[in-house]
Amino acid sequence: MIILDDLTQFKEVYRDGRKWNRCIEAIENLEKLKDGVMYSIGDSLVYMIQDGVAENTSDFIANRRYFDVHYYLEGGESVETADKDALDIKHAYQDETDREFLRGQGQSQKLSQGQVAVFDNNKAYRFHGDSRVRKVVLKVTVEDGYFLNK
Amino acid sequence: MNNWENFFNLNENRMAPRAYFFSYDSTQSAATFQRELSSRYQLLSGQWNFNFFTNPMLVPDEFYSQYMNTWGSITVPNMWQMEGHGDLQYTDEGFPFPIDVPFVPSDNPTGAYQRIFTLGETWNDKQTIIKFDGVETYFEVYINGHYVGFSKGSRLTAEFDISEYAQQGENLLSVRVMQWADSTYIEDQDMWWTGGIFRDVYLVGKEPVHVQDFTVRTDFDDNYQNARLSCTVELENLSKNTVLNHTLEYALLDAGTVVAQGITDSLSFDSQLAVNISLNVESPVHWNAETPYLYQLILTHKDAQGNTLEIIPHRVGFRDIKVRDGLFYINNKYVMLHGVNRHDNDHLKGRAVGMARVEKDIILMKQHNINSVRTAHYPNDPRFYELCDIYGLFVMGETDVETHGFANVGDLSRITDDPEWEHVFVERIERHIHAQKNHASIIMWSLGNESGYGCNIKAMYQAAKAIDDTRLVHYEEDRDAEVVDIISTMYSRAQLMNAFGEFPHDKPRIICEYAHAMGNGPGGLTEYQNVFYKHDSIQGHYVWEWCDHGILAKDENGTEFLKYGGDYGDYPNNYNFCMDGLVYSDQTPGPGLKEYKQVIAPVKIRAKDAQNGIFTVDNKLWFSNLDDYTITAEIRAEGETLQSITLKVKDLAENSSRDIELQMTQLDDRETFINFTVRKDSRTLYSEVNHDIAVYQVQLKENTQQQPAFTNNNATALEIQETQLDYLVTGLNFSLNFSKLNGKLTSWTTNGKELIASSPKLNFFKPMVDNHKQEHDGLWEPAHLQIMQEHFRSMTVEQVNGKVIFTVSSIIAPPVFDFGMRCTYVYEVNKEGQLNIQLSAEKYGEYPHVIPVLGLDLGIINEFDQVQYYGRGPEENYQDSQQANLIDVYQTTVADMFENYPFPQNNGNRQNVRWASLANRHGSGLFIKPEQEINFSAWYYTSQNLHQAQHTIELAESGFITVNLDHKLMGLGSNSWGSEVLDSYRVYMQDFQYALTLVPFHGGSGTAGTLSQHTFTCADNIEEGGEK
Repeated sequence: MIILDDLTQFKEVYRDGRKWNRCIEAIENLEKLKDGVMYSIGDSLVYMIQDGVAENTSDFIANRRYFDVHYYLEGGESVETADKDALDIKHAYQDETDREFLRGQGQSQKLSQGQVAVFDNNKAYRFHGDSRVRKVVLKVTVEDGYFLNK
Repeated sequence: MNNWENFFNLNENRMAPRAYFFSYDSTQSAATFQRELSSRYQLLSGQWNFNFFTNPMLVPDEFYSQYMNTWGSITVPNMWQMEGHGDLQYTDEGFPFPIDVPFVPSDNPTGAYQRIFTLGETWNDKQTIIKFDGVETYFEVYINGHYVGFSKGSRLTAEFDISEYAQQGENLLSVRVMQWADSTYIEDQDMWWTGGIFRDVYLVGKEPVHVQDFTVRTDFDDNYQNARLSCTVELENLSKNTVLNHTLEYALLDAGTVVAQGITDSLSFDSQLAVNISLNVESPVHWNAETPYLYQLILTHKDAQGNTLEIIPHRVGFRDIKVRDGLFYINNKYVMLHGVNRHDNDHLKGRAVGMARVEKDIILMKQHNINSVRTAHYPNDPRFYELCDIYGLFVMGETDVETHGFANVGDLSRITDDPEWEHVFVERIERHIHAQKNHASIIMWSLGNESGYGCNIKAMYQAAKAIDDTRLVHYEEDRDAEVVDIISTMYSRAQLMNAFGEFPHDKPRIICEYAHAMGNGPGGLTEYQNVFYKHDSIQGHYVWEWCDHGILAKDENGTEFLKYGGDYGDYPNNYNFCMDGLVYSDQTPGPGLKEYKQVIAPVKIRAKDAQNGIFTVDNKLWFSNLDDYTITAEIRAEGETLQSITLKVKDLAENSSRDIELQMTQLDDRETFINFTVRKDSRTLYSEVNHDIAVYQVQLKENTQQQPAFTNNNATALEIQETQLDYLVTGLNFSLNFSKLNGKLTSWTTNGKELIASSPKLNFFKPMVDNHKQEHDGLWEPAHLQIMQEHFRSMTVEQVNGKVIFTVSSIIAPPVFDFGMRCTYVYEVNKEGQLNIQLSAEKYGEYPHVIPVLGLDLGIINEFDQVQYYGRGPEENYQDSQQANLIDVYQTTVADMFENYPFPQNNGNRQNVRWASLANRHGSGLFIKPEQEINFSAWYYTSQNLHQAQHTIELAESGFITVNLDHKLMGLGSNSWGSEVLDSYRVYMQDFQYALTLVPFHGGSGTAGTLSQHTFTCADNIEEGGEK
């Protein structure tokens, strides 16, 4: 997981490429959104505002074709991270959801207001659900460069 | 300023928009709905006088008032480019001239059309209207030298009152048409740029006092039992006298029987009067796409003396659409729209599609389980909607708006968000709705396509709702659903559609374009459909697109082929991007349509406890039970039917499921499947009795036979002859030659006949399919995968237990780079005559991206064109496009296995192949048995030829059959403009191994099946038994 201190740093680091530009476009469109509803920019990025306490799950979740970017608007929460290879598969990967569920142990870290977390698809994650957060959750394609999308 | 460059002037003297209808003299003729039988109708289509000019100023002054005897002729309707005038050009979205709103090229291609029409006495004292159903792009109308008016809006009907200028006897009609206008900036759809009068032109005569327009709506009571039919009839009086005591009679007929009627009399007015009529109807049959039940409303307009002035028929379907709790309901039923995007294109006449073609499109859609169509991206011929009413399709009626070309300058919303253009946008939805408002089939309006977002979209929405609050309004680029009734996206990937479904909006959602059906594909329809079915909030999906836009042409030898962008010298162009339909240009269904039919089939069958014969039937119809459907269950063991069971699932309500239990016969030791076929019993307008709806297959057991080893009692010991360059292995009536130069099998003769035309070769590249173009252009071609080289490294020869074993190593890798595959071929020659081949490779270096294939190809002699195989068929199939094909034993030919895409590409694959044979017509051939399932295809062309050819006429038969025996073949996806290949169907350059046996045979047609019942000792025993 790559953690950036704030949105300014995120914009500086990820300034090239349509998918990154769309992350910013999405974040700048937040005032039009309803909480808990998934919206889209183009055909390969969806995003939403999540507000509340995350569900404390026993399973780690991992993705393959889309990775998460979380931008923390308010509050903070703990997330546990582990290499996929170090975990056991509980539910196999599904193309329809781009999710697989894994079990094991990882390392925890805290994410807090203002930060932007870019989740790495080589790893799996689970949230502890330890406090309320308000954040933007973006699902971003892993494709890059040659990949044309609308 | 020119009218065609002034967007403040949209027309001059064009009549107000209104519904499409005709008046008749008798109820008998009215009941036919044939406009040719109406009171005063004269079709003007046919051969017209014509000349083409490169600039509108070049049209001579005499044109408007004199018949130009020296000119040529043109067909109306047609595009003038299709008759040799002007230039064809194809771009997806780019304007073919510099953006300089509202100006267009001064050399504006211009068609000058003329025809003489004759009015008889019956037209005297009548209002005479000329109607154009489609003219691209700007046109002016002149009658007998008098200017009548002009219009824009290429695919919107335009009417002019020519009463003042038309006369009894002969009349000269002159129409000046220009290809470009300010309106071109709002008509930038993904299609050929063309010009001309491309839909019918006709005259309509009206009595001085007449029905000018009417608007029908149906409303159900709370229980959806009874309904009210309401109709607002607009009467118009063009005479100088006040109308007194006219009468409007109205009757609703059900198959000729009056079920409700009424009269409104004492109608007196000066110029216009709106008459509201209403009929209560008890228990009407609802109209829906599954049961498109239509009533007939007959309006009879009489004068004060009781004389009938006109009789107007209209087909009425009782149907509503309402949104409740984030979902839409049609007739109070949950619905999912399984749709396609349909353009007008004919391979002979471009946008001038005839109604026979239109009707065939609709029939094909119905035959393939499609229940909805989006008129992408403009209104259709008015008769299209009548056919949708009759056949039963839910229509998304889209108007003629697309400003896509502004995307090229990063300002897609330039005019969409410019208030000065508001009237341009608003007029287009108003004209569209007024023209089509009375069709039961239309359930939603669409404000256009890919025009960005802005104030003019909001204004269009308000205007649409002001005219019609009974239907929903769609516009895809209102991404956050600020105003529209349905939230919509295009090309959102299946995973993202799932995310939408998990966190739904409070408005229902559709995906108005997806699964770009370009060339071979689309792949991944199943996963999309799984997501759609999983989430109620996703209520519609429209594949892009229905039909290819190819134009039929002939080469110098008279061989037909299809042209696309760039083939007319047009530049810039978007090349073959217009060849992206489920249906080929000539309306032949492609494999993608068959897959779509299967995936959206309204009757599903799945295993619940297959061993005990328990299966679940899902009724995914939205309005009907399954009483009109019959299921046949056939138990198949390696090509033989063991049992056939026919059953019906009675009284299973729409959108519900039921388990069925089958009494299955005892199975033997062969591999066995149960195959279900679902058929619709009754004949319909679009199908014969017992029309196929879907097929399903469940494996009941694997093959459990103890198969004997293959033997040949006449076999003699193998001999090896080594020369400077070769090893020649000889057995009874056969020999195989291996080259010491490259380790290749260069010759294989049996009974003196050569079998091999090109040596077996491991292969990691395929002729590019359109849906892999992005990977090809971005990843494969830059890495030179299309020209990978094979370099021989070593070869050993062993004799083990009477077999001769060659182990050959090589690398296959692209030039320039330092990655590739280290390959090993182990050829085991047996005295019985079979060749066991074990193939393996290890990756070296870095290449983390997908590749097309891990496979093997070889060339065999051309005469082995008779194919039998046990695998998935009967048509081509791929990992992500296989639902319409079942595993069984199939007989075919090399020619029939080839799917001849107009843009040549990889095709014809059969998956899950347990064995295959290719033989000549005398029953001699080559039997192939892999150790595990393989992909199999066979072409008369080389892979290089298929990859390089851009048109079918560039395919040249190689003189032998290329046989592909592939271990892993990447899925198709739809990323010509859609989803990349899903994770499960991707192939990477990675270590692998697989094995197969090749056996020449001479025993006739049954031999392959017999051979398949044997095992063939394989080279993986080398280490155990080996002795040199």
